[in-house]
Amino acid sequence: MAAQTTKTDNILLDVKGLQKYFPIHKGFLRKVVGNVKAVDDVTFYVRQGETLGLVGESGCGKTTAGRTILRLYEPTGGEVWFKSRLLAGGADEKLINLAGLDRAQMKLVRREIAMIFQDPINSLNPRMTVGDIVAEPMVIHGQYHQEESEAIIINLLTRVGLRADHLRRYPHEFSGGQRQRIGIARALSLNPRLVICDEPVSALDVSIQAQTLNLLQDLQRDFNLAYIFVAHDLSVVQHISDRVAVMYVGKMAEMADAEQLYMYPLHPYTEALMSSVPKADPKYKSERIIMQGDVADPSNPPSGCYFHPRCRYAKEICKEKTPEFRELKPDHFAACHLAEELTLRGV
Amino acid sequence: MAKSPQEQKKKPVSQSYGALVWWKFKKNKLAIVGGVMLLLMYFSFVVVPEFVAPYALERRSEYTESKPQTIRFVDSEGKFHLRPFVYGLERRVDTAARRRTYVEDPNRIYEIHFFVSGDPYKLLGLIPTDIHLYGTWTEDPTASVFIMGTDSNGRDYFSRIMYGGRLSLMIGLIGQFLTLILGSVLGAISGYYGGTVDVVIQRVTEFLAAFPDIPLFMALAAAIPAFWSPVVVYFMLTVILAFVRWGGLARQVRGLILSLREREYVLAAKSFGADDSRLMFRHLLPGTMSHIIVIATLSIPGMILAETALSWLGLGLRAPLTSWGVLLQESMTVYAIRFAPWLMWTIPFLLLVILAYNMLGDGLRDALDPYGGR
Amino acid sequence: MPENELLVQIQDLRVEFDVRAGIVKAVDGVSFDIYRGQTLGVIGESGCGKSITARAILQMIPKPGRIANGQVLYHRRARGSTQTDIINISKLDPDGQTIREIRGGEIGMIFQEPMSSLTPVYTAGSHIDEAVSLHRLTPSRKVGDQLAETIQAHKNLTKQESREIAIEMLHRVGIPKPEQRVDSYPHQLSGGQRQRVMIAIALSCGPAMLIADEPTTALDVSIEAQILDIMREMQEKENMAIMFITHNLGVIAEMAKEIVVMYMGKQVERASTVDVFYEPKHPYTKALLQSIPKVGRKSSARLASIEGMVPDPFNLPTGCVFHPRCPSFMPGKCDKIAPTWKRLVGDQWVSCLLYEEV
Repeated sequence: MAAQTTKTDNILLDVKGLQKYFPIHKGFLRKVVGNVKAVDDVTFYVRQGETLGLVGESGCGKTTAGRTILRLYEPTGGEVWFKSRLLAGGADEKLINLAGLDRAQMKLVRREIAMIFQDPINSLNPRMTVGDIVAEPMVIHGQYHQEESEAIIINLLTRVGLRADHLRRYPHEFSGGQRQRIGIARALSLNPRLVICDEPVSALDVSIQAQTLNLLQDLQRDFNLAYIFVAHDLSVVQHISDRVAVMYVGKMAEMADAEQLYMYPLHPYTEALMSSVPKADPKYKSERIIMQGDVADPSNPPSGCYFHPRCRYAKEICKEKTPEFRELKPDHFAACHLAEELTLRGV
Repeated sequence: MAKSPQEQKKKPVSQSYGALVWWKFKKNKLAIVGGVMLLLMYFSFVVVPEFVAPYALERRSEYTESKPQTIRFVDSEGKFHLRPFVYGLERRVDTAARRRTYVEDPNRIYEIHFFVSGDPYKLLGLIPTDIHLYGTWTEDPTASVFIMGTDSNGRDYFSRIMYGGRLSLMIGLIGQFLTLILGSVLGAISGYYGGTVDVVIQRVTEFLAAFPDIPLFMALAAAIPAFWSPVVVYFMLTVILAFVRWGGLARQVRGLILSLREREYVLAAKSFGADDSRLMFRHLLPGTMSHIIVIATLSIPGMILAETALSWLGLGLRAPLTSWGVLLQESMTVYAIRFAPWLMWTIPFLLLVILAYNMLGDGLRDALDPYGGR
Repeated sequence: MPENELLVQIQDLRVEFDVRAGIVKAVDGVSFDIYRGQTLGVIGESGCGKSITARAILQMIPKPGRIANGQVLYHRRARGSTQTDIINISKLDPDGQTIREIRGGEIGMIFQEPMSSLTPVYTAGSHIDEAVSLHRLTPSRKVGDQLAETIQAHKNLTKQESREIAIEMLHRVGIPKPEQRVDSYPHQLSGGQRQRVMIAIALSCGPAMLIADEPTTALDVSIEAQILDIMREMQEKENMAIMFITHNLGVIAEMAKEIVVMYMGKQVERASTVDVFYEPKHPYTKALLQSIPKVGRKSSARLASIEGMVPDPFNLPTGCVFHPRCPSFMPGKCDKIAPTWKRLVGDQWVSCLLYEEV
């Protein structure tokens, strides 16, 4: 269950107990025989203007969580509290539960929350010009007016490092890095307050990655954006995030300030992850913690704590009881029965 | 990310997807040939068959079941004529086989002229004229130019092939068009919404597909009352063909929509608040359009053959309507094969059309992938 | 400590691709040596030619590419014997008996799990497609069969014996319940497991060298760690050389003893790993190192990114090919004169005018 946060000021997004289950159909009549619990009781928050990194390995549910927040997938349970300006009624802003909105209300909120995708090839419609692509959110919301909007778009393109004459070109004429910039321009076209970045640099070369990360940071500063940065590259995440949350098989394992999490983790999974990251330093000598076996299966997870079969500290209680995601130190949360007893190693 | 050599085309002008497809299509010589062939054939057979054919459809002559008159340039005396010509026909009786035959009489020479006056007709159904592409230019009433022989009623077979082509080719096109509409819409709905709608539509297509073609056609064709006018029969036949065949296309479209639906640019549009119809018409269907066109193009020969087969079996079009199927019905008797083999001239035309469609379809399919390969 | 022996020598290799728009020099004068029991890392970004170099070693360059110059020498030695033959691989028939014996049997290779971007309407045309699909998992055959087939092809064993070795290999690469998994089809395994099977296939015949081209890029860190461990284990046990190709600087720091840095088909620096990371000489290497984020104490600094983009292969810059993006650009020199491959102190080699007298 969600813990009471101590630093409640300035929270833009507050996710409580989010669930997304995908039913498994079998047989001719497609009966539901079980569920893939892609997101299972996930709780985190993001403050205005900050970046929350969301990490975990394949199948941990981080991408699904990001998409469920925006209701690209319908949540199976839980609440997503967002400080909206457009749905605030008379007030400046108001906390509303996205999971409970109807279609029209949700459409309004979509102007305040945008998304950037991973695959530079597939995230842009190959048949549309760059101008059309960036303008689409405005068109959808009836905010597109020929001349003024074109000026806005050109401004956006320049802001992300492209040029005005790119307006009438097609996506295939650009490199991967440039296509990501187009995606970023599109995401910013309606002045959102929160941007969910779904693995935005994973498909890019190292040097382009650096350029793109710098761009994202600049934009964040200039527009006071909050980011949820979903990724699997731990070094990239630490660099860009203020706080980081670790997920494992649909559940929250740990969440803390970035440096705290990486250097002084409280959850064994975080510890193991940190030790697995290859360090770009040939003189670095350290024992790597090997997690035996494969990541757990979200459609048939282990009992109790999902991580217990691979955890080198596991005790009886870990097999029986699911640990609670609780605040162990100020603003540092973890879901582990043994957190108080263990001293874990960071990077 | 470095651009590959393939992306480095020195084009100053921005290339839209359509332009790229066209550029790649142009490189495929076979496809161009196929396309041009089809254009020519459709123009000749559908738009102006009365012009290309030397005779009117119902023009009978006394020269029944005559073999084709050979086009010659050198006569029996070895003299070279600039203009091609044919010999006149003369009746003989073949006592052994007890039938009339017609042989060429070298003494009567009929020159072939182009753009001659002949049987009157209305070009495009509007303009009355009597000019034909070729014919004889003489007052002699026994003159004839049957380059593919005649049928049992003395009608020029080449002319009949031309008129027959009109119906056969049009059925293929119209039928496929109807199938396209029906199949795309249902396939798209099925793929996009999923759930019960999808299941129902899927089962219906499977049900239809499970029906054996011929008995189904027979039943449907038999249901057409005999007293309906030939035009209505033609129309109904087209509808029947479309109705039986939409399942295949629907399934393809469904598959395409299913795969495109999860594409990130579709998700992106959704994340910005696009509603179903925008997703469908702006993002999904355009992505399927090129494929639908290829599938449709490659299926038209099937439609043409279906009509041909039906009519040949007597289940489709019947006289006085003329299609290639009807023509083939007359030619596929043992008697005809033995004594009037030129009646099978329909077949090469049929093959040519099918070949042309396949060449065009293959070219379209390759061109649809303008970003990949060389 | 005995000096490691030479295994493969690449000498002034040049590979060209003749495409419609012109000739692309995918590999333009690369030379280095690979020693038994050691790992050589090759680092560079997309389009630098590192993958093509790897394929050249096995005569697997896809059309329309061809070796335009240079040679690949392989010091072949049968197991247990002391006699070494030097074979010029670049002169071998790509479909011939010898190279087929070598491929898989003596030199194994692993490629990146392909992220299939194939779509009905749009193919990622920027990847040079593989013409030869050796050692890819065929979807229609059981995993165990594919593994056993490789073993049988290179060793004289019965089917049953090969199957047993296959199960053992699957166990070595960390596949749970290998006796069951050996009968699975590729689609029944996860991406990480498939990659491990490919590694099992590559290692199954105890090759003298393993060519690993981005073997762990698509995998989770925990699986990646396991696989890197397996490779190191094999190296120790069998004195296996590894040519490790990647753009991931962290992985290469861990695995490689020596590193070659490539850019646009050329080699720009070669040195021991420690030297490359602690005393990089070429501006590109320096820039690469500065552009990767590091874990640990957070610094608020921006990542130092390399200006501009990789150039158009048909419109290469004059002089040094890196000069338009180089922070140490010297006008009048770098845009006019191409640098030569030079040895600096010890075992450090660079191709940069900063270290040359012009």
